[in-house]
This record gives sequence, structure tokens and C-alpha cells, in this order.
Amino acid sequence: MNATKTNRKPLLDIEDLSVEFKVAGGLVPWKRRVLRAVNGVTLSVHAGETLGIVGESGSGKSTLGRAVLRLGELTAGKVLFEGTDMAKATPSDLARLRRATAMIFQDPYNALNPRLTVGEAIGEVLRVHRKVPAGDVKARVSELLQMVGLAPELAARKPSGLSGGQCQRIGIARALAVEPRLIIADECVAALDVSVQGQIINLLIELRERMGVALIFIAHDLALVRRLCDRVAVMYLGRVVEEGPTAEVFAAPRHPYTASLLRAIPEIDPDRPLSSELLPGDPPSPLNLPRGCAFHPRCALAEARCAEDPPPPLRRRGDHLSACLLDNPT
Amino acid sequence: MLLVRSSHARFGWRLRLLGGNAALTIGALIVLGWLVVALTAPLIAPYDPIFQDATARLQSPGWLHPFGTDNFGRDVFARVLWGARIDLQISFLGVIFPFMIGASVGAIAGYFGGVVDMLLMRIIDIVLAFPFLVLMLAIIAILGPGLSSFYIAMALVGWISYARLVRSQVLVLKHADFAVAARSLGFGHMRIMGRHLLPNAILGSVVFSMSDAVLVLLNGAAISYLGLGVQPPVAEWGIMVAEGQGFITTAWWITAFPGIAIVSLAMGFSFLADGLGEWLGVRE
Repeated sequence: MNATKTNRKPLLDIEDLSVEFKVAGGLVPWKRRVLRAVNGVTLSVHAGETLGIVGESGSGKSTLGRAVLRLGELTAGKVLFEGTDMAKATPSDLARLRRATAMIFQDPYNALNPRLTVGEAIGEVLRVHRKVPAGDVKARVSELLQMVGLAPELAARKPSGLSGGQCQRIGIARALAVEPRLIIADECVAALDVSVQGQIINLLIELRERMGVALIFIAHDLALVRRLCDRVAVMYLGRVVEEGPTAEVFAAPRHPYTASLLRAIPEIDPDRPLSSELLPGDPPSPLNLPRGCAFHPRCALAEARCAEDPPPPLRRRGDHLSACLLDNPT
Repeated sequence: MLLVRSSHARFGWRLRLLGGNAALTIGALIVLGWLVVALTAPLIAPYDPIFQDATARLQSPGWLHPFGTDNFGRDVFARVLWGARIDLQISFLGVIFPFMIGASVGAIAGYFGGVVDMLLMRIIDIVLAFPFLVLMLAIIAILGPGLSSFYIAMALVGWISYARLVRSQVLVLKHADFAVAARSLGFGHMRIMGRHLLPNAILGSVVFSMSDAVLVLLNGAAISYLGLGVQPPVAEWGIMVAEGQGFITTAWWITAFPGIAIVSLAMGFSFLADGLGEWLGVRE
């Protein structure tokens, strides 16, 4: 599978993408500081593939997702979608991107217009993009609702009368109405009950299989990423510190940050206590990044050279990349 | 929610025991009642509102003239009923034009931001720099007295409150997930503004428009009182109060009944605003 993928052109190619925000800091405008939310990220996603992006809050994973879909600004870099650089998109490029991509949001209620019924919300997408003839909109809405495991009767309801899980399914149905080739799911199960989380993940797996849509799954829950994703990228303070096939990264993490994240996964087994080597403290402020490897102040293995600029680059070993100086590619 | 209703908490609480949204019910009943009166005035009014009976001047309220007669011998009851037509029209038209203009301007300013927002906000600052009534009087003085001048002046001056309300809402809502979702689904600006942002942004303005109707009503009455709005002999509550004030010590009914009418309609709108706010708030 990997061999065929590397030969084909990827669906999405993110090259050296950076997103900076100007933060009003001091009293005077020229003293404004710059927050580097995303710092030179390079990633690619092939058609039908699922890429997990994990990291703590504030690691820039949501900002990255929004910048890729051009829903947020980006400062530098390229976002090649099917060969077109969307960082310099013309209005018609952007329209093409919108017709081929969709987003699923974290808060299922907030992602739906409270004034529109479910049928209106999904039907609007079909009408705007002329996905089906006007007479078939209702039938297609029912079909989409069934596809995500909901009764077609829900089309008459408004979001306020539905559960979080139902709203998230509607969000997914609305995304599917576009018939996208890429879906970005931004923490799409974080706000749901654990039992519902499992259902939504299973639904995503089923839909991916059936429709061959590529998925970027942004999450902080590593257990969900392991279940859903083909590959995983670990972000720390705006940089990708490790990337590789999910099984490989989980079995043998090469970056100490990934290793500590994996140790922090709670186990069901009560006899096995949580590892005592949990990550201490909070990540440093992205306004004032540490020199060198941004992780070195919290890293148990850090050496003097870890604090030296420039930050360590991603180095490849097979299909598995890591940005740790101590990691020796053989 | 009961605790925040400080001004008439006790009243509201007692009515609530009757069940449902008391303020909304009462407000709607009062306003609907006046609407029915306005529509049926020609049928239920016992006299012609401008008919002068020189033999029946300044008669106190009685069987023949329930609200008495004024100094021209006109029936005050008939004039109050007919006045409802003009005053309801004033509060409706005086609100709807500023509402529409303000909501559109506010939505555009909030949605596009940047230079567009800056320009529109500066225009609002200019309008705000003048006292409300003075600016209205100036516009009416230029256009000439009359109701249409009043509506134009209202539209030119009154929209700023709506624009500011809607703008502040749109500024918040445009970053809400559903607005970002609408963008990610490739919807156009007009669709996002009109169908997704505005319906969610105007709730506060709808509530405000009800209390604004009170202000417009009083404004209309004030303008007529000053002789710049409705022209005599047309029956309008403000003008009736103005005409009757010379007789207030001898014939109180000429001013009292139209005054009560103004207060009751204003209270109706006020209740409606309260109830509507609660009702829409609950639905959110």
C-alpha cells in the first residue's frame, strides 16, 4: 500500500506552511509581538488516506487545519491541493477547493445554524453546488441522513432538539453532501460522550471505506488516532516533531515528546498505574519559543546541544520522520 | 431569570403563575387590541373625528360622549379611536425603515470589516454627534412639516442603533463555527450574511425594535405636538394632547384620554419587548 502511494502524486501537499498572528502586546503598536502558531510544517495526504494530527492544546493543529482549507490566514508556505497552490488561490481556485473539501467541527451544536432545520442545512449545500436536480434534494437529504445512521424524519428538526451525537452526524452528513475528496475533522469527537465517540469513529471508518475520502483527523486523543489513522503527525508548538505510519509511531516512538504522550494514555487495567515519567509542566508560550528544540525544557533526555539553534530538522528513516537530535537514523 | 427582572419583578412573578410568558401575552394583547381598534375605527367610532358640533363644546364625559368633547365640539372618544390608526402607523413605519437600513449597514460593516467597517462607523459617529431630536427637527424643517418628512427623518436618524447592534452581533457570529462551516461549504458572501449571520444577529434588534417603537411613538407625538408632524384637524394622540393643554384645568378629558392611549400603547410595546426577549432567549 505504501509503495503505491509514494509513486502517486499526493492529494494534498503542505510545504513549509507557517501561520503567524500579530499580538497586541505593549502599549505601542510597533512593539507588537508575533505568535507563531504554525512553524514550517510539511505534510502530505494521499487520496483515501487518513492522517492523524496530534498534539497538546495550543500546538497549532487546529490553526493548521483551518489554514489548509483557507478558512484562516497563512503567512508563508504552499498548500498544494491537486497540484494547485491554494496559498495563492484565485477566487476560482478557492471555489474549486471548497467544492472538494469539507470540515467537521469540534462543537456539534455550534457548527450548525440554529435557525435552520436539518433538512434545510443539508439541502442548502446540495442546492448551492447543484449536486442533484432541485426535485431530488429531499430524497438526497434522506439518503445522506441514513448514510450517517439517522432517521430521515430528523430533517424537519432544528439542532436545539437534537443530541450532540446526532448533531455531529448531521455535521458529517452536511460535509458528505459536498462529495469531498478531503475532509478535515477538527477534534470532532472531543465534545461527545465516550460511547458516542466510538460510534462516530466507526462511522468515519465506514464512510472512508465506502467513499474513499481522504481524512485529516485532528485530535488529542491518541487511542482514537490509533484506531482510525493510517499515518500520524505529532505537533509540538507549531512544528511537526514526528511523523510516520500509525503502527510504527505507536510501537516505537522516536521523539521523546511522542514517547511521553504515549505514556500518558490511561490504561483500563487498574493494576498497571500510570507511568511516573509523565510530562511535567505546560508547554512554553508560543510567543516566546525556546531556542533550539522547543521541547528541550521539558525533555528528560535533553543535552546541551538541544538548546542550540537552529531547531533540529525532521530526519527520515524509511517512512518514519523525527526531529530529535538524539535519535540516530541508522 | 426571575431575579434579573428588577424593575417589575413582583408583577412579573405574579403573572407568571398564570402560566406561560405573561409579558409577551399582555404586550401582544394590548398591541393587537389597538390594531383591531385602528382597523375598525370607521365602524365603531360613534362620531366623525373631525365633525365639529358648536352646540356641544367642552362637554364632560357622559353617555353621549364617553370621553367628552373638545373646544370645537369634536367627540374625544371618536378621535382617540381614529388616532390609533395614525399612531400605530407612526410606530410601525418609524421602526421598520430604520430597522432595515440599520440591519443591512450593520451586517455589511461587521462582516466585511476593515475599511468598509471603518467608513460606516465614522458615518454613524457623525450622526451620533448631533442630538437626536435636534437632527430630526432640522431634517423635517428642510423637508417641510408632515408625516412623510417624519418617516424620512426617522429613517435617516434612527438606523444607527440597529446598525450598531447588528454589527456587534455579526462581529461575534462570523467567527462562530457555523459561519466558518458556511464558508468551508463554499457559500457566497450574500448567502452567509443573509441566511446564516443576519437571522441569528437580529434577535437583539427585534427586541430593541419593540422598545424603539415606544420611543418612535413618543417622538411622533412630540413632533406633532410641535406642529411639525400630523397637521390639524387630523386626529392623532400627540396633537390632541397639544390642542387640549390650554384647557387642562377646565376640561382635563381632552388631554387625559389621548395621553392614556399613548401610555397604554407604549406599555404594550414595552411588554412585548420584554416578553419577546425572554421568548427568543429561551429558544436559543
